[in-house]
Amino acid sequence: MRNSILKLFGKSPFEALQTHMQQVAECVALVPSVLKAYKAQDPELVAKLAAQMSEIEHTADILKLEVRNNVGSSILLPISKADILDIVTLQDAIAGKAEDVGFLLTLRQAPVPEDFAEPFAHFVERNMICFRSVKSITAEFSELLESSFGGSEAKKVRDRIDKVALDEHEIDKLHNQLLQKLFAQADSIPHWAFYIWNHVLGEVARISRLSEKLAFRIRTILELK
Amino acid sequence: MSHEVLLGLALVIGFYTCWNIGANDVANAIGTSVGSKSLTLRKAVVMAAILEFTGALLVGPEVSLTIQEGIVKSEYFADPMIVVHGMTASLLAAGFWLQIASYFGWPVSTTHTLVGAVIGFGVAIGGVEAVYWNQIYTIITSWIISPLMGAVIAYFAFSLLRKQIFYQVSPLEATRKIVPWLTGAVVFVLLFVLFFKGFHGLGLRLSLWETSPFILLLSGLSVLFSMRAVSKVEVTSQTRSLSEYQNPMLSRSLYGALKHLERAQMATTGTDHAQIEATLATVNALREKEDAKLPPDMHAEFSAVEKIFSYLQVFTAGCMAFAHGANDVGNAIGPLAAIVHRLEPSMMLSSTGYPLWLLLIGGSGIVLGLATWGWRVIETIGQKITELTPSRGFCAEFAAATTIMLASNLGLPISTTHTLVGAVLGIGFAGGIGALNLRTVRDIVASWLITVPIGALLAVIFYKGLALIA
Repeated sequence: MRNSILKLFGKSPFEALQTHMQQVAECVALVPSVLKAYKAQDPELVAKLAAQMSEIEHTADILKLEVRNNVGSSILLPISKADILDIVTLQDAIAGKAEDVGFLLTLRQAPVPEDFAEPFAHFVERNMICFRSVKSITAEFSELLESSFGGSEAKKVRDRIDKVALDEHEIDKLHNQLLQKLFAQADSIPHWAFYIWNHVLGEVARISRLSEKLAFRIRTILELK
Repeated sequence: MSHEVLLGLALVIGFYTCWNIGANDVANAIGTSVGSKSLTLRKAVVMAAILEFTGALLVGPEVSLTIQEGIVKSEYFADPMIVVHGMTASLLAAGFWLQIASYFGWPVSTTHTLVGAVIGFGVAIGGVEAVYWNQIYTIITSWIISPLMGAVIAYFAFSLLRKQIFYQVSPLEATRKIVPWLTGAVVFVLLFVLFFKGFHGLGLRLSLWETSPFILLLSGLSVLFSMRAVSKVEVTSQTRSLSEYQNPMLSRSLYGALKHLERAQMATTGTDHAQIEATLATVNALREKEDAKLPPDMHAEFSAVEKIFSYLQVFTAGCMAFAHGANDVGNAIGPLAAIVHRLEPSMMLSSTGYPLWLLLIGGSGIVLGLATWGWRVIETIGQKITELTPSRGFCAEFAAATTIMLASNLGLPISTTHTLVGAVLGIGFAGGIGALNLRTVRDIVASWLITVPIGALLAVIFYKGLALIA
């Protein structure tokens, strides 16, 4: 068919972005479960969940390539291509962090430091909430596209982005508190256990830090006066 | 070859060209409305058939006349049979090239091919003096201007919608306010480009001035009609009034005011301090009240907005089908009329010296093409192009319909497909569409450059062949 109208419309990258984020969310959602299995000293379950996270992260990688393939040089988009590419890279990095947490836990079963479990569970939950806020922001892409990334809808999204930044600040403080607790007991736990907890804290904190980065990246595509 | 056989051959080829138009081009006018779910496939096909036919009948003669008499100086040829063979060859050339282009999927324009073919046979047989070059320049200029005009109108139309509706706190309320006036303006513009040369039909001869009361009346009625229609649309999930939903600008302003008041509070003492504290309490209460409200359901609002625009989209799609019928049918009927005029002058009967039965043949060719093949193309477009929501589709089709109607009334044969592509790109540049493939533009420009020469060449080849046989 020699139909120009059919050939004129390209594949929208926004749908692909949302599908990718869906996979990232599935991966991140397993983080609390794998930590719970670790606390319960169940290395088999930990290994299984870590492998699952790896699988999902791999699927997300493939979807990321899909997004990249659809923003070639001859495609006209309402926002710049660099923005789309950065957003998908950040989304993918979050999934990577979740996968790293899973892997760390498979290394060796470490004892839980004193007075650590409860504040740590709270810390993990705060990170999950932060990520979910960003995910709900990416779910707004269809509405943003409809309103051409501006106006009242964009302002609404911007307010949510600012809230994410506030959240991340609070989570940072919790991270520092947990690190202090860990370092206070540094002499009484084995060095490898110290390593594992130190890095698990770091990787989980990075989930919220990357979520904040992603939120700010999305802020730059909005047309705000 | 006797005149009857030649006439028969010409009619068959002319009918085939019209069939081709119905099979391939009509879909562009209507397809996007099916994709945005504004129309079902069946309704789209029926509407297209009726409007294409009507457009061809009422306004087709203008363009047809240009192709008959405005390109080749047929008096230049002593023997009228040369013109007959030449026009028949043009039709054959156009049909042949379009068939090849369809097979390979090249975006070739019916109009460009036919005009190229007619120019070709004129120059080949009579030399450069046999062609009205002024008219050719005008026509080629219109080929470049029409997509640009479509783009510009669509760009401004969508920019208007973007700012006045999609950026607003409540897009649905904004739509309710604006759409009646928008409808009136759209009806006015479309009626204007339809009647700006007056109205010759139904035994009447009216000037633009005389038709203006009719135009104004219809525009006014459409405003009233859409006011009523728009007030009936409900947002299903929002059952309360606007004041019960959060106003994000209000929240933000109150938050800013609180920050400033807190700063002021820290900088004062005594009675001033107490006063500011009281003010702080009042503003804080306002903010808490605002925060407690529900955020507006933008998704539901946008859906309602699009639902309202779907009616406008159907209307403009219909106008586009009408304008398309007017412009493209002239492509095939023009040469046919020239042929009939020379072979059987007695058959050219009508009040305007123009045969009605020829237009009927052309119109029915289009309808048949639509019914046998065109509906499949519409279905494909409807399935694959779901990005063009009604608000965008309306802008594109309004821009295209206006441009095509203007050109048709000026007797200029333009490519309706390219005009629509220009309009869609205009919306893309205004930020209204997710992803557009700019390579299509390159392909279209490339097809411009080769279609006219090839059409001309093929016309000459077919002419030589015909001259040998007939």
